[in-house]
Amino acid sequence: MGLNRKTILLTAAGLLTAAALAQSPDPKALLHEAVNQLRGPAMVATYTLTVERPGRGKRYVLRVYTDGDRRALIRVIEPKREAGQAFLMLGEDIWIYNPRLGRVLRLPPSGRNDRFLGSDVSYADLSGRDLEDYYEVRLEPAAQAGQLTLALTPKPRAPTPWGRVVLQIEAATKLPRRIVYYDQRGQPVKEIEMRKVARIAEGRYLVTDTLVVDRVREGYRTVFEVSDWRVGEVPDRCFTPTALERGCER
Amino acid sequence: MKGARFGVIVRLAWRNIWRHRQRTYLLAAVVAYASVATIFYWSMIDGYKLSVLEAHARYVMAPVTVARTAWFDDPDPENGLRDLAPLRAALERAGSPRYAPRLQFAGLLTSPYLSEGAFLLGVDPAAEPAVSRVPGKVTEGRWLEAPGEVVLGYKLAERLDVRLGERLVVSTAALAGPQSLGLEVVGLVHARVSSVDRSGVYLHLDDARALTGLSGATHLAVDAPLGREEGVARRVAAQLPRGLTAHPVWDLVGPIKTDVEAGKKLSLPIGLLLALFAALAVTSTLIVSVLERTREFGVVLALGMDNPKLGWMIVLEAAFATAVGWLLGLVLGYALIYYTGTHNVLGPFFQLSGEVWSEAGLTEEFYTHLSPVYALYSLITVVVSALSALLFPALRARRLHPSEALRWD
Repeated sequence: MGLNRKTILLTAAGLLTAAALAQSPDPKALLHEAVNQLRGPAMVATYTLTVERPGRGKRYVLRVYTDGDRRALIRVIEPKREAGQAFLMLGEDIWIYNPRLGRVLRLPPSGRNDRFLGSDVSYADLSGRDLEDYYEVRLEPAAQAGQLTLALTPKPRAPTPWGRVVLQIEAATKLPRRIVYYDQRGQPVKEIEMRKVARIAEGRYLVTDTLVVDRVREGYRTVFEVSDWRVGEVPDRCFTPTALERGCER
Repeated sequence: MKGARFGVIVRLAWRNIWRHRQRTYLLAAVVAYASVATIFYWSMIDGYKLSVLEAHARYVMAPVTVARTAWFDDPDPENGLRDLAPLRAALERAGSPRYAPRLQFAGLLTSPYLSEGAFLLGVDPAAEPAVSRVPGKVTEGRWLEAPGEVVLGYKLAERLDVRLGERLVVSTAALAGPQSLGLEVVGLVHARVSSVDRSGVYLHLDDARALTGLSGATHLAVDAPLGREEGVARRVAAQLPRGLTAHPVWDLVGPIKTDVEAGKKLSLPIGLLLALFAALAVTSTLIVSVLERTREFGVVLALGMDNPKLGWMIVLEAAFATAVGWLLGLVLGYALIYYTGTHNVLGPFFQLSGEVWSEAGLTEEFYTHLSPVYALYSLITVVVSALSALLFPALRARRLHPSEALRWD
């Protein structure tokens, strides 16, 4: 009889574990969905970028064209002194147009980790799918109810300087609400918080207010605000080096 | 005594120098000092040039570099060597000097805190120690063993804030287009050569090939004994197929060569000044030693020796004492430069000057050079000073009158 009880208990435990496993999402699929949400849809939008430094700040207005995946064109509208600068990101490749030089320059791939317009954001933060390409993903116990936590560790020889990236994802929307980048000693270096979100379609969201905090240097912050967005397919001509200089809206 | 043969004067002079031992020892010591100073000075000058050469040959470049002629004009992987087989055959024909393939390219290093441009060197970890001292200067961690690893100059690692065991992203854009790799830092180099410690980046040849898309190497580093790089380069160049060239390190150091050669030109007047001081020391000692023997010369003249023979006797005495001093100086001088040429006693001393020393491309090691020609330099210094010093006493001896000499005080 004792044996029967044990068998029943073991079977019940096995069934519960199986049920729990069946309910927990596939980390890779979850990350894919989170990156999709993070990148937003194909759209044209105006971004206001505020770079805060101790004792000073700088504000940029940018016009952004993105296919919601690996391609994006960013043109600087304000301040006037820097207007006309443009950035084209096509997967690993980044081109920069400098109106003063009148020339298009190509950035090396690691330029993706460089600071965009001197802010706390890298080119890789703005476009591309580095989080999916370079990291092994694991689901961790959530910090809060209604959230999922993904811990990303670099794949062997992956070209990323980070030691670990942790994403807090809203379980209902699969939208990342916080991303923390750690160095290889476990110290947080950069934190991205998605503060406001707009619903643009059923199950589709757009992050409209993002705060990026440099965790190493006190007082280094960047705020991204999105306005005047138009969701829909963006013509391919926007993602060509020619569009850097001339733009692509007619 | 009048009409005495020359042999007698020689014997008399030789006996005289040992009769006045104290004076002889003093003169010999002064001449020995002048010889040692001359030998050591020129040995240091040549040692400096060879130390610069050594630093560049063994740390920064290679004793002899073999590459396509186009690569020397534009050191880009595009001008690299796709197939190393013809080079290996050429090197065999040239007497099989040891060599190591290298792939040099410009790239970007990225840590969580910083990105920095650098020249990276892809090396064969097993072959590299034959031509470079860098592998032996890894003082933290270890030298490369396998792909996926990188060794950095310790100052560069400090700037990038990367430590042993951490990943560093290396990126470049060459034949393979834009490429990136995450490499583990396995070693830090303390070469005490500024360019190595500040910007040295060494990765496995296979990783360099993957990053650049070049299947071979940009160049071969060929071994050659120090100071014989030119001969080896000529021998190798004679065997190379068309379009390939071999250059000794001295041809590739650029403005440093001009600096060193300008320094050597500057060392000539300094050397002459040193010789002048040495000559003055010898001269004054000789003059004093002759002057204080005036009464003795008066006795010799009174006994019947004529003035020219007295002059010859003084000259011979000085020549004997100077020769003894010079021989002593040779022994001491060569012993000194042999020791400083085989033991790094001067390097730590020069390192006290700090960064300036390593920025000049020198290592913490400094050795003096050993050459027979320094014996000639010291001989010239001693002979010239002895001749100029003897002019006065010899002339004086010719005019000396015994009665005046005996009363001389």
